[in-house]
Amino acid sequence: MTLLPFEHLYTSHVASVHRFCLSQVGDAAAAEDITHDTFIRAFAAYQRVRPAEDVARTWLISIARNLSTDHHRRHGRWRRLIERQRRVVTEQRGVESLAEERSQLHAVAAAMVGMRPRERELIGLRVAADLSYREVGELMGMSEPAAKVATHRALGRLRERLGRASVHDIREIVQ
Amino acid sequence: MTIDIDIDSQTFEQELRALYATVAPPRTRPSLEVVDAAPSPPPAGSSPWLRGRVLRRGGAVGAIAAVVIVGVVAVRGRPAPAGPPQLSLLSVSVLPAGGQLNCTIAVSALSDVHATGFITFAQGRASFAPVTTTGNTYVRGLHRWVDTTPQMVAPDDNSYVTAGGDQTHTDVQVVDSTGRHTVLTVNSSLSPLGFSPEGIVLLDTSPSHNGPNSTMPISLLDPRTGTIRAMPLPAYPAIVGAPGTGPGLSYGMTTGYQAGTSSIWMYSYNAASNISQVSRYDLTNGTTTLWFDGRVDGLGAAQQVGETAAGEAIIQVASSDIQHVAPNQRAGIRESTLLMSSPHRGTVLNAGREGDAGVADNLSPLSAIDGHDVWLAGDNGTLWRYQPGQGLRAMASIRTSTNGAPGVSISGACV
Repeated sequence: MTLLPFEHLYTSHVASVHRFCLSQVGDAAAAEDITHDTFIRAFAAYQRVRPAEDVARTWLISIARNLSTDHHRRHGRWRRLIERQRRVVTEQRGVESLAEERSQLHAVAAAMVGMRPRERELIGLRVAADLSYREVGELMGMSEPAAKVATHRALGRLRERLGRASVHDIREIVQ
Repeated sequence: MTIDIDIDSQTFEQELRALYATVAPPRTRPSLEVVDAAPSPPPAGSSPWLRGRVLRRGGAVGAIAAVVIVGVVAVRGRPAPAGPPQLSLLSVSVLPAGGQLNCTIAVSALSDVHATGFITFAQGRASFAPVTTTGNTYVRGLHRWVDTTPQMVAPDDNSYVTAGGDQTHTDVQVVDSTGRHTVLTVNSSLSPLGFSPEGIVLLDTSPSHNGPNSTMPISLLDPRTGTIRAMPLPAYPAIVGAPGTGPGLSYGMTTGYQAGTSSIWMYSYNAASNISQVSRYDLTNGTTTLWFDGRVDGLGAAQQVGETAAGEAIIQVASSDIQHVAPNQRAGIRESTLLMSSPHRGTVLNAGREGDAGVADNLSPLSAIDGHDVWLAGDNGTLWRYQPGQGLRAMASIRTSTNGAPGVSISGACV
């Protein structure tokens, strides 16, 4: 099998990977870092793994997912400290042109922060990374129908949270 | 501003997708510049993909120095806050072993409630006094909360360090008890890791020091003169075994300065082999000693969480990759807290399954030495105290009003 040039992989999927990372960590700098790390890891493993073109995106997303989980859990206490401080920085920066700092995305990011990790991942995989339910199921270790049901439930939870907490969360972040 | 959610589920999903679709991909970094045509990976460490700002990349092996992130990110480029946050409350329950406490400890709850303040123990009860601050570390000698990490507070508790700068340089700022700010400018590749008795610890995180089997040079910055002294290279612990790939198979290294000591602790873990190594770098003489080796001392995810005044290490070993498991899903993972009197020689202070009563949950390395004792805080909001002869005992349990148990950062001992 001919392996596509790695830069092809990068240019084809960096946006998708980045959106997924953003959906998981809700922080621009962290999402960029994780995206960066994802491709560094992928590059290191590319020749060994030799992913087929049709599964390359899910392979990259699986790495990004691992790193996003890492970001959340590996040093949860550090993360909370860092993000708390980053939040101060964000407040200072105000409304910059970064996409996720727009109010709508802010609201979504804020609402997703408090969700269960599994729900956040389902939404991120389906909506931000734009994966099919089959791909979501593969990554989450569940069947396609189960992935669909679980994702819809997670989206429902997100809707509830947005309806309930948007004003508070938005004020907290963009104030 | 509110979001319109009065739509059906499918439309909601589509709108969310459209919202995320507007996010521009990140700019290509110097270390991710595409070079020529099809790359065949060159030897790790020399890859152009690994050039550039690699502070948080451990290189191709994913050696992510997480505490370094704290040491650097937490103190870098932080402007003055826009305004004080709202006060939040914590509830504190004194546990039986804490019934005799008569002291005050500064805590910062690392949860969404952002509660920061003082817990005072007296007559078997505890009260929490919140403070209005954007700081999260209390500097006792200065009587104020500051925006830095506990490792950045000087051993005499009378000054602390923050850092700023850009890609051309790093400004290490020392703030003393008179409020004077002394700025020491160093190379941009140097980042402060802690404020030790030997000086301000600087870690060289330049790209050439990343990658497999790499090591990040350590130097000491004299806070008074600004002179830098290079230290012997540390011997970083190894990633033992072949790293696995796929979700849940993490591997990496962590480097952190233990506040109030001359120790830098480094640990590696590979979830695929379930083997950890923990090493101590001695800032007084530049030597590295391997204290825990999973191949001979036991499998699991090990991390150093404390050090006694006598130089003993407190190390926790989880039976599996606990760091990849959310706190509320850790039940059943075995966790042992060991007191290591010397390399490879430890006694069990506490052991059991996560979630069971009396078992020390994942402890933070932001521990504090208090004479012969050590104060520690767990992910589940429990305050612990190690005392020679008494062992490790839970002193208090902290809860938030809305989010349950917070991760807690303590600023110094209970005095």
